[in-house]
Amino acid sequence: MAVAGLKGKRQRVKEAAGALSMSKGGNMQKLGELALQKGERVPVELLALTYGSLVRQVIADYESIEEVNKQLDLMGYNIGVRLADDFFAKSGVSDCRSFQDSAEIVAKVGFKMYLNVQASVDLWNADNTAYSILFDENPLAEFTELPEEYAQLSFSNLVCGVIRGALEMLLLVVKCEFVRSTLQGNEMNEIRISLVEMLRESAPEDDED
Amino acid sequence: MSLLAVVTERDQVVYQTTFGSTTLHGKQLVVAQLVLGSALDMVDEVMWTTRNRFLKAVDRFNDQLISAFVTAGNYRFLLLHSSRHEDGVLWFFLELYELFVKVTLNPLYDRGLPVKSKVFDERVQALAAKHLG
Repeated sequence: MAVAGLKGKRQRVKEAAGALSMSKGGNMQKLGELALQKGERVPVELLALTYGSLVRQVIADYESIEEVNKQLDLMGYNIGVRLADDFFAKSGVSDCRSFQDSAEIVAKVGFKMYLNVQASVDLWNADNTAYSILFDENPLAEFTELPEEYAQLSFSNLVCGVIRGALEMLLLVVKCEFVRSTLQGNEMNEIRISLVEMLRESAPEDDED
Repeated sequence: MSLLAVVTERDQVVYQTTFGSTTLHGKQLVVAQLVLGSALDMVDEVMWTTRNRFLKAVDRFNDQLISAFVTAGNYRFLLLHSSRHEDGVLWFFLELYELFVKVTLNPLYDRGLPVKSKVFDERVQALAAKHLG
C-alpha cells in the first residue's frame, strides 16, 4: 500500500480537476482521488516509521504526555499553515465558502490526497459549528500499538494541528482533537472539529484623519 | 503442551507463552524454561552450520523436542514441543516471524523489552492452534 507523499512536485492537476465542476459531495471524492493519483507516493513504511521516530523524539524531549500531545499539534499547525496553499494549488478545489464546505473538503479531498485515507464527515451539532471526521485506517500509526504508559498519547495529534493550521489560513479558527482512536481500542478514529471563531478579512485601516 | 520463548541475542526473554490443554504449573514451568535456556547454547552452535533460519530440532528433553528459528535481526524463537510434525513447526515459526516483525516495527516498542501486546498474544495462540494442534 502506498500513500501520497507530503511532498509532491508541481503537478498539472488544475486542468484535469478544473474540468470537473464542483457540484456537491460526490465530486469531492473524485477530486481527492484525482489529486492522490497526481501526487507522488511514498511507501507506508517510510511514512509510519519516520513519523513514529518523530513522536519518539517528542516523547523524549517533554516530560508529560499532555505536553507531547500539545507539541505534536503545534508541529502540525506549522505544517498546516504551509499546506493550505499547496492544497488549493494542487487539489483543484476552487471554492470553499462556508464552514460546512470546509468540512467536506478536509475530509474527502485533504485526507485522500495527503494520506490516502477514506474519511467521512458526520455528527454535526445542531447549530452547524462542530463536526467529526471519521476514518478507519491511519497510515501514520500503521504499526503502532500504545503501551500502557502512553495510554493518553494522542499519537497522530499532528493531523489535528495540520487541520487547525490549514483552516486558520481560511480564516476559520477551530479547535481540533482526537476523541476516538483505534489505538485506544475504539473501532474508528474520530477527529472532532469545532468552530471557535470566524476571522474577518482585515480591511486596511482607514488612516486618513 | 508446548512452551514458546522469544529471546534476543543478549539472552533477554522478550516473550514467553504456553500452548495446549494442560497448562504448566510452578516447577514444571521452571523446568521447561531451564530446558529452553540450555538449548540456547545449542542454537548458537547450530545457527552457524546452516543457511536456514529454521534450525529444526536442536535439542531434546525426555520425549519432547526443542525447535529453533533465528530471525535476520537475531531474535531466537525457541519452541519446546512434542509434535513430530516438522513442517507444522516450520510454518508456525514462519507465521510467527511475520507477526513478530509487526511488533518490532512499532515505534513505541524498544528492542529487549517484554512484548505486552494482547493482539499479538491472541494471534500467537491462534497460530499454535492451527499448526501445532
